[in-house]
Amino acid sequence: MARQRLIRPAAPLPAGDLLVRALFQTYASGDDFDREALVADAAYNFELFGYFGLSLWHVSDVWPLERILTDKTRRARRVALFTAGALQAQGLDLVPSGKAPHYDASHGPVYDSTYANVQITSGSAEELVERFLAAAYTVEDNPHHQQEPS
Amino acid sequence: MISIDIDADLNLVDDEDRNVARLPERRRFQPGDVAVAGRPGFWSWVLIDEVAEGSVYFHQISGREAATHGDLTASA
Repeated sequence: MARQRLIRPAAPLPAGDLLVRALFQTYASGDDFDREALVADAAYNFELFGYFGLSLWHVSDVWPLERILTDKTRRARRVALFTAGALQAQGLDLVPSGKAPHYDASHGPVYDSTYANVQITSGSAEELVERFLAAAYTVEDNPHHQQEPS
Repeated sequence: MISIDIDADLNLVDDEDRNVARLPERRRFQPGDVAVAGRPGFWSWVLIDEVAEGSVYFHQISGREAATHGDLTASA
């Protein structure tokens, strides 16, 4: 059963705004993303909240990149940086979900609820991931990476 | 190599800023348990906050904090 999802009131992101997604390992193919894992992540978001989504962190005055790297993604060795414009150019919506600076890249109708059971029935996890992987991004090492000894 | 207890996208948080992931099969967790969540290249010690409806909710903690909850080698 989908839980409620907070959708923050926010203006559409300017094309030049940056969004961060922490990366996991580099895969055997040399890819930065694992397609199947992304599809599973997007589908799980649907199970939780009723829409397909991939999580991102939005860089802003309150949450500059440095703060995101030292807080939200401190356990990641590398991060991918997208511009809002690059994601939007692939037909993706950027949904201000949960607490700032969290956003979802989603594909489907835009909604303007402020707090609701969101339900986007169009699109699919696969389509979202295809569009997401088609977006241009850059990869940066996280200089603030903190990993505990295993 | 770290043994990961909970496969999780640590980019994903709920409305309370907690990480959330599918509850692994054949593993039992309860609030207060310590585990390792994430995937190779991006993982963390975590403290379980809630287990509900096939999902596990948790927040990331340091190894030092995790050690205060018991034997880390048993958890990982």
